[in-house]
Amino acid sequence: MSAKMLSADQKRKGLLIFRILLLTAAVLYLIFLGYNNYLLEKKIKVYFAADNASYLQAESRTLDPDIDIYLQIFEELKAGPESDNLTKTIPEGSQLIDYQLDDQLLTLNFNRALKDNHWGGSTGERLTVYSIVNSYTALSEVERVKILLEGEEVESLVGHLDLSRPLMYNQKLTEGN
Amino acid sequence: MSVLKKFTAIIVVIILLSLILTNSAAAQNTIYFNGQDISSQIKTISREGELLIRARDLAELLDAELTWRPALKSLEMESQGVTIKIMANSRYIQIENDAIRTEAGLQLVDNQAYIPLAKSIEAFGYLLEYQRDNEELYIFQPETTIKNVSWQEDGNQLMIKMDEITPYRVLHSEDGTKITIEIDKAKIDQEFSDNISNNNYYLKVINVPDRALLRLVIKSKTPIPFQIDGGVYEHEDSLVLSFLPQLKDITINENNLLRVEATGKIPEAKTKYLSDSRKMIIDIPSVVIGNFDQQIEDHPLIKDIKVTQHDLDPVILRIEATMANGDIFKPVQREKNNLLTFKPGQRSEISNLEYAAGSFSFTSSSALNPELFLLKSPPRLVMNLYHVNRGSGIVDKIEVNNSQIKSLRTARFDEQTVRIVADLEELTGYNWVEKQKNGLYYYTVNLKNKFSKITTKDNHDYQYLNILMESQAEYEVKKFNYPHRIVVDFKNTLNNLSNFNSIEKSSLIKDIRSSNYQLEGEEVTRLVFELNEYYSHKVKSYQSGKGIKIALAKEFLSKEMKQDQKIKSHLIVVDAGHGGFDPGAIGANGFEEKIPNLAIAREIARLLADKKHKVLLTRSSDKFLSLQQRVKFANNKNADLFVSIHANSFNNSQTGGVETYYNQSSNNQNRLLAEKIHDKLGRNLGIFDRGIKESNFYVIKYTNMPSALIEVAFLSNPLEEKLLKSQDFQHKAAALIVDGILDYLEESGGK
Repeated sequence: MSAKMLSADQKRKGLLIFRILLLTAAVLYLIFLGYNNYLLEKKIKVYFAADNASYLQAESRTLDPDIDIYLQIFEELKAGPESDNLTKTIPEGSQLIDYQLDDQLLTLNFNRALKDNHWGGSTGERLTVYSIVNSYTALSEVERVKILLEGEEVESLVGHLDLSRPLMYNQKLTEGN
Repeated sequence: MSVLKKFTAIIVVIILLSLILTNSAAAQNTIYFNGQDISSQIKTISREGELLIRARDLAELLDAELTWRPALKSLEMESQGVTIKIMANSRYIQIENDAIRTEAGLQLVDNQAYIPLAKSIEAFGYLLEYQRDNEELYIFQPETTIKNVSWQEDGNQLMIKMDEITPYRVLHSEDGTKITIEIDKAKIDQEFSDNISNNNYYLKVINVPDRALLRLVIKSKTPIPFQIDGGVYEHEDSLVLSFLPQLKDITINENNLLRVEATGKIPEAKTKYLSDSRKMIIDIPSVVIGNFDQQIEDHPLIKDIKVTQHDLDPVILRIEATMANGDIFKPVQREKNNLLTFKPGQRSEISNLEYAAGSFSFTSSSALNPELFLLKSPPRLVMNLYHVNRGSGIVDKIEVNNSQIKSLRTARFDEQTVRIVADLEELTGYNWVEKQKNGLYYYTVNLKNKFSKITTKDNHDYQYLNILMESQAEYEVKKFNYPHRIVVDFKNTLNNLSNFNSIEKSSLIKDIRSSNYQLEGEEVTRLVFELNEYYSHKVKSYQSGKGIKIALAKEFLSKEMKQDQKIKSHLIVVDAGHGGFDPGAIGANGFEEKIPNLAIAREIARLLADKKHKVLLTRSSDKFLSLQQRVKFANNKNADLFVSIHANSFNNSQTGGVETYYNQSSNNQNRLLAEKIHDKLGRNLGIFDRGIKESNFYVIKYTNMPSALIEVAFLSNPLEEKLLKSQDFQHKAAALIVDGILDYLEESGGK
């Protein structure tokens, strides 16, 4: 009798300890997961022209939780690089009007200032377009980028690069490759 | 409590300050004993230029036992087993069994005995350093004791054993016969052993009294092989000086092997033969002469051997062996690194003396070191060959009678020399080359070629440039544009053009110049024909390589040549970027891209049409075309090639240069086309070469034929904007692009 009672008591205690352990594990797991996500999303990469307009090179920016990440990326591109060795690639007055993400294809709709205030040239166009494409495709959910001007499809930004098709991350144009 | 502490502290400071002040005021000769200023604790006087210390004070300092014998007026002081004695009216201090002379000796002042400080304190093993500038005298105990100096086993290292390594310096005299090792705060051990003095070296230990250092001076009659760089290192508590190996002996054994042995490793030696004095010279680097044995006297092979230290910087030992006859010694494969062996050598045999226009040649069974010189009257080139015999095909005289050589003669000049003489028409330059093949050595002597005749000839289709040389020419013809010119480089050629009457210029040739310059280490004589326009050219040689005929034609060269190269007429679409309401990039000073694009495109079209290609422009005036319209145009016309002309831009006015783009996905010929075009532009356009790039540009992506897009220069760069405005630059760019296109057509087989 007393042996049985003791055994039930022991069982309860054992169960309690098990529950506490489980709870702790769950809490730890959540903390770990949250921390990881937090770390992952904390920094964004924005690309600027480097090495005498030969390459693109990324700079890190801290994510501002109060702004939409897609808008923030364009704001950071527009604001230009922190390093004196890099050159900004977005002409004055450019705005990201809206965007749409559909099955990893990100459509960015800019105002015409992106074209009208652009300095032109193959080099200039390539660096502008791919600084945008590389910055957005650095996000895990974006695979391809399509650029529109005021809602319209364009064959090119300033007459060279083919914008009629979505573009992917350009590894060759990125510093160190 | 704390008030009391503060009070004492202040008092201490005041006392210290006053001490320092009084000391500095009494500044003459501050004396430090083991780092402590003892000036105030001792009494000193100066007599006969010597500093004397009150004996009582010195005894106290050294904790010595002082005995004064009034009857003898003599003083004895004993400390740590050392006793010194000094008597009044004597200048000598007796230290154990030695007597050291002083200037002042013992002096009695106010009934107190004063004795010379430096000499007596040194006797007790202390060191003195007198700093004259601030009149400070330092007395201290040595920090290290030198126990012995000895050679290491291999005889190439000198080891100085001491208690502890103190600062040291190694100095050597200019002639290298003396090195001095200065060791600070060192004393010599009483049982010091000198294990290095011998026939060759002499060691002297000098105590430098006022400077508290010890000098070890090593002298030798011959330069001491101390390694000037990196010769000293510290090993435990010893200083080790590395010496270069020394020559040990020179012998010649019963097998007639000449052996040169050193105490250490002998690097590769250089052997030379001087035939006029029958000498063999062996120069051995990094070995010094030393005390060597040499027992070669009147050997049947070697008459005499002389060894000298030929040089000290770098160190070279020279052995001069005078041969008994004309024989030579040859180095033998080495067995030991401290031994050089030479064996009597067979003479080389030369054979097969042959000649050609402006040159002669022969072979030899071993490598020779010929001596060549010119003699004036009659003009001849003499070649001395040492330690050779004349073999087959070497006759006394060959009549040559070509334009430069009259005859060749060979003769034994003396026991070891065979001489080849080329009788020349006139004196000229020469060179000689050696080639080794199948164990034979081939020697060719080339007289400098000369220009014989240069003529130009006008034919209604072509113009010819004929260059005739004295002998077969080694030349290269190159064509350059901007300014258009044909360049011919001649090797080993005398520039005798100043002797020529001015060459008649044809209508194509603006000017003829010549110059001499170095090309990859060889002297080259360059002839430059400046042309008044772009001409295609073709080179042919005549008179068995003596003559060079360059055909120039304004039209693309003859039909046969076209067939040779299988270049048919092609349809090439040239696309001038932008246009109409699309100005393209706008330059730093407002110049619009569409303008130079069109100008260059038109010039390209003109030049290609000159080459009988069919050319179409996407736009021939200032009008707008979409990218798609341009692509459709070329595709519909079934063009063979498509080139798009652009001017670049970036938002940094520093960025500049030329680049060529291709698209890798649309046509696998694209890269080759871009390479061919850019090969010309990158090198010759005169602006920064930004290289070939791959990109998905619309017009080169959707055209079906091989295509390239050229960004000639940057409008955003003010300097390049200026260039893009100039017709010269536009035409230069166009000509280079055309050159590239033609290269492409040639290489791709005109597909």
